[in-house]
Amino acid sequence: MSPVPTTAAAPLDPPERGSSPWHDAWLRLRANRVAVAAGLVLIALTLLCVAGPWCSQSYWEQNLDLGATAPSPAHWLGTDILGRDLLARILYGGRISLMVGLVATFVALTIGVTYGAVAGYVGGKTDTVMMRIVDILYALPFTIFVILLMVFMKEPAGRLDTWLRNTAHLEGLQGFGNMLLLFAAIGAVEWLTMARIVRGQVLTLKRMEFIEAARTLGFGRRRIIFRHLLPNVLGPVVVYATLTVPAVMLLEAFLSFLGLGVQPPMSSWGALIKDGAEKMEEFWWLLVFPGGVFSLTLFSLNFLGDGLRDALDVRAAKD
Amino acid sequence: MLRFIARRLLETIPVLLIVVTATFFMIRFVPGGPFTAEKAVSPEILRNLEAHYGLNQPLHRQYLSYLGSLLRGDLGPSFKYPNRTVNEIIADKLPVSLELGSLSLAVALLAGLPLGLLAALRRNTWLDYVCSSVSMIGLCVPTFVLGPLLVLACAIHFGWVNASGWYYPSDRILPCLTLGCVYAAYIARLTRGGMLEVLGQDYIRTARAKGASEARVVFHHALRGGLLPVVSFLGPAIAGILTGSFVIETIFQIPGLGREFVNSAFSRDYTLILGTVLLYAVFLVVLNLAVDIAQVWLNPRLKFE
Amino acid sequence: MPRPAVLRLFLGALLLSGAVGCSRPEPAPRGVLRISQRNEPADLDPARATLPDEFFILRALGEGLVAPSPDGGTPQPAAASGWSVSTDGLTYTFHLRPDARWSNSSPVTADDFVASYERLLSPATAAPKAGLFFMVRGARDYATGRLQDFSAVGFQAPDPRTLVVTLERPMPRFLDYAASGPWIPVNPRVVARHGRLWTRPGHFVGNGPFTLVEWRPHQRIVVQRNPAYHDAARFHLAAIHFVAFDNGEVEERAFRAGQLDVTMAIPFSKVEAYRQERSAEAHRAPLAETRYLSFNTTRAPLSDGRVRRALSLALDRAKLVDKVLRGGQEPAGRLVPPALRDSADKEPVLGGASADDPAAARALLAAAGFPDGRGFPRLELSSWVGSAVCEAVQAMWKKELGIDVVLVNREAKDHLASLAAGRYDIAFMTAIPDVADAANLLGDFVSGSPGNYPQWSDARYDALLAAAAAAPAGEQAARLREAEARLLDQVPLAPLYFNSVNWLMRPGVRGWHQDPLWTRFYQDLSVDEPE
Repeated sequence: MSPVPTTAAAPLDPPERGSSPWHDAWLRLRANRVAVAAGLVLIALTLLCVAGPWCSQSYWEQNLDLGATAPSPAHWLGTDILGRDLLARILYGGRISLMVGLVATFVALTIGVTYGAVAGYVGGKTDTVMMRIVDILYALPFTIFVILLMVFMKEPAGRLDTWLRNTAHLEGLQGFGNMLLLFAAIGAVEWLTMARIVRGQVLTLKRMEFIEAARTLGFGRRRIIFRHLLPNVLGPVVVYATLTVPAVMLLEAFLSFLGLGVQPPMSSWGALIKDGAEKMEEFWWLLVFPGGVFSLTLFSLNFLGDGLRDALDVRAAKD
Repeated sequence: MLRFIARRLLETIPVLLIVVTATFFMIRFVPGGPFTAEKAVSPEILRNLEAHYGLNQPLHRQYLSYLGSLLRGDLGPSFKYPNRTVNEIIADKLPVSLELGSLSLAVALLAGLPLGLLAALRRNTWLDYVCSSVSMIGLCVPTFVLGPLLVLACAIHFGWVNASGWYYPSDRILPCLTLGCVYAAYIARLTRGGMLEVLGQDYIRTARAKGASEARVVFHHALRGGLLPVVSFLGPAIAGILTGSFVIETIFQIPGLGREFVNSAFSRDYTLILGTVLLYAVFLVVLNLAVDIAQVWLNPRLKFE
Repeated sequence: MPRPAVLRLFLGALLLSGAVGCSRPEPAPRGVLRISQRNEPADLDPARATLPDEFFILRALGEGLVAPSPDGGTPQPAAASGWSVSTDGLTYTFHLRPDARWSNSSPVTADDFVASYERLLSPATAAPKAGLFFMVRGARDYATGRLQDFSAVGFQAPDPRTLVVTLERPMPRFLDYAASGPWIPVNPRVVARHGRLWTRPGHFVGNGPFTLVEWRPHQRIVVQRNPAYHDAARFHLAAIHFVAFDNGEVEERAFRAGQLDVTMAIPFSKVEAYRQERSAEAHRAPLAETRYLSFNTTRAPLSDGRVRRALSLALDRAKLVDKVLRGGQEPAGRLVPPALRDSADKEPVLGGASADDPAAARALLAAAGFPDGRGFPRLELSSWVGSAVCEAVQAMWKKELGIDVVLVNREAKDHLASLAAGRYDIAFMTAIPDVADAANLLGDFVSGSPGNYPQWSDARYDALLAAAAAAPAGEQAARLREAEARLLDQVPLAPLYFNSVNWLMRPGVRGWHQDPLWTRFYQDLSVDEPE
């Protein structure tokens, strides 16, 4: 399809389905050099973390005689207290942290978007009840409930682990039960804001003509929600999702600080940073390298999110 | 407006009730009670302890008696600190958290608002990127890294202030700076986003076309609307600081409520958990109400529904 | 342009707050010792205290009939100036000091002691450490509610200066128990008048060398010298500040900034640095604390003694201590730490099942049906400490035996609860005795004892311990050693190391003394003025 020449759209015109607004957004994004740089950094890091652990040294093999050593040709980023290679641990930990970030955000997204869309579109009593539930859940303090949840669910998570190991023979997913718990706990909190945002958006979109048209044409509720509303809600959702991932990763770091994060010998950036912060004066590399990578990732995610928001927000494009 | 406030407050009572009930039953199902200790206690003594605190009663009886004491304003005795009641503990620590929170928010506003404003006004220029990057430090560096770094520099290396504690006025500086950084990041982003949205509106274009100076446009016309996201953020943020500043309180050894929040969950101090959860819920409700009122005041297009 | 105005405001506010706030911390006043305190006392009531942290303060505020001796021998006179023991060893008659006074000047009488112990043993008080009184006739029955009348319990006060304690059976180490923290008395009249609030400053009354002046929860507790104490001349400190620090790194930074005189510990990664560069400040002492791995003997394959023995033999304890812990700990092949051992005890430390013998371990494992670790189920190794020791143990077992264990870090209460309920495979645990009596430690592993985490039941062990309790004074130590040998032979647990404590102390602090059971001695303690 040939691109339609863009004009500055009037504020209340609904974005049409089809490639042209997205294409415009993409062009705007591409012009934003910082966002592009951020995106490239993220892609590079993700590739490193996915492929890296296969070609690097072992992340769990200890060398007690070696102990913690500074960066050297044998260990490019140094070793930790138990003699494990730090580069390998950072790459492996990156897998975990990125996975936590992406999956938890995805969980939050799925639940939040569906919930918010349904509440916003159906409206009336259902909407009120659904939002009341959100209010109540908002009033529960995250920290206490994550702690209790992690402790509470240790048993089922452990049983899941045992099942994976013994029955499903998926040994590579050892510790997955605990991870799942982590995703669930974090996702269970982040979906609330997503639901509110989506509901707000849907409430605005609901009154627009194209939805009215769809209703007159006889489309069912479910079809309208999923095929007409959601794609138009996608903009703010995508932006918020890009900004949720760093929040999730910081949350994971906080849980590691409390001792509730991933368990050894698995590691995550949060756990590595917590460890490094305790030992930063003696073994500076234990903090600088994991911390640097972590901060770089978060910076990039934030800048990318900003760039996406600028690109997708039609009104702000006017100067 | 008064009717609005009254109605909202009335609506919150069922919310609070559900919060209390959910918490009450959930914490009972977590393994490990308040009296599980390293050196195992003989079963007879354990029974005595539980009888003393009424933990051997059937659960619904305990729940009802707890609700009864709530109505009297009594949050119960603490299980972990037998000679203190939850009321006393909260009364002791809440002022500290309030001080920490308000000072940190002041720092955050002082730093975040200008940074966000500058970034919005000079969008996509180097100034925007610099301001955004500076403000993002709070979002990208965990507090348990930032805090100790500041302590090592300011307290130990230069010796300007104490490394921890909450005794002298100067003890407030580092914790509030650290915590303020985090909130400054959020405030800067929200200000930038909010201002960008408002500055793109038609009425701003009109004002500019009518010859208003940039300062007038920004401060008189745009700021009110641009600050809306910040205001709606501040509500939960204040509630969050009061009860969620665990890391800061640990690093700087501040006797605030944030640590009680987390430690009560770890030590299974049932009454303290319930007390702090209730406090947080009440704060959140009140602050949300305040935010809604402020939003109506800031944005004339909104009305009390 | 909005910029200059805003920037000026911002900079101005920053400078103002900086100028107002900055002040170098004041140095501590004369004769005040600032000690770090790790755990906030739940209550400063001897009847309810359980943690060493609480007893640190209680020992400054009060004293029992006898007190531990700084050199670890027979307990010394404290509130009692002397005592005599009946020939059958069942009756101890304590003579209280005539000049012993409470901090409100009323004299300390034997009735005060009886009333204190009645309160502690009463079921309504539910004292966690009531077990330390159960050697007294009738005490256990009274505490569990089977006996209603306290006059039938073995505490009598025939006159205000004499306290007669009657035991169930002769106990050579009884004085060690009488010297323990829970035996510190309280003033019954003060408790009766103020009830729950009697431990607040202003109400608190004790018979010790210091009085309670300030208690700011999670900040600090201040005790001040009590000039009316009978031995006040030996106490040189004007006051002691117990400053709360939850976190070891925060505490170390405060020490470096000059806010503390004595810390509770040194952060793990800094121990070596301090010992090398600032050795005048770094101190180390052994503790009567054994860290061990508890095997759940009710679960296969841990129910097979050969498997347990193999797991124990595969561990190189010396390496754990030297390379992983590096804090001056001692490898442990036995359960009873050096401080609790009899002087005649010459058993080797690392022997039997605690030797480092991977070959024998492999042979045993093969004999048990798991050659080269094949077919061995993946067990869980749980702990709450998040210690590198568990990771090292996991790696050692993988390397030497070819088996995989999963590390599970539970949160503290959860870990203890799962141990008590038997919901674990292998657990990292710590054994801390209440008194300097090996029987206190070994008694935990009797069948059915609540501290018997391995869920182990061995009739021979029970019989040996019972024989030790009934044995005459001279033979008791030997009987206990036999019981311990049986325990080590059956390997329901694998001792790993005896813990030690590293702490920081300013060179100006003189006369510091703390014994392996965490008892602090405040007499002869002084602090030089800071420069």
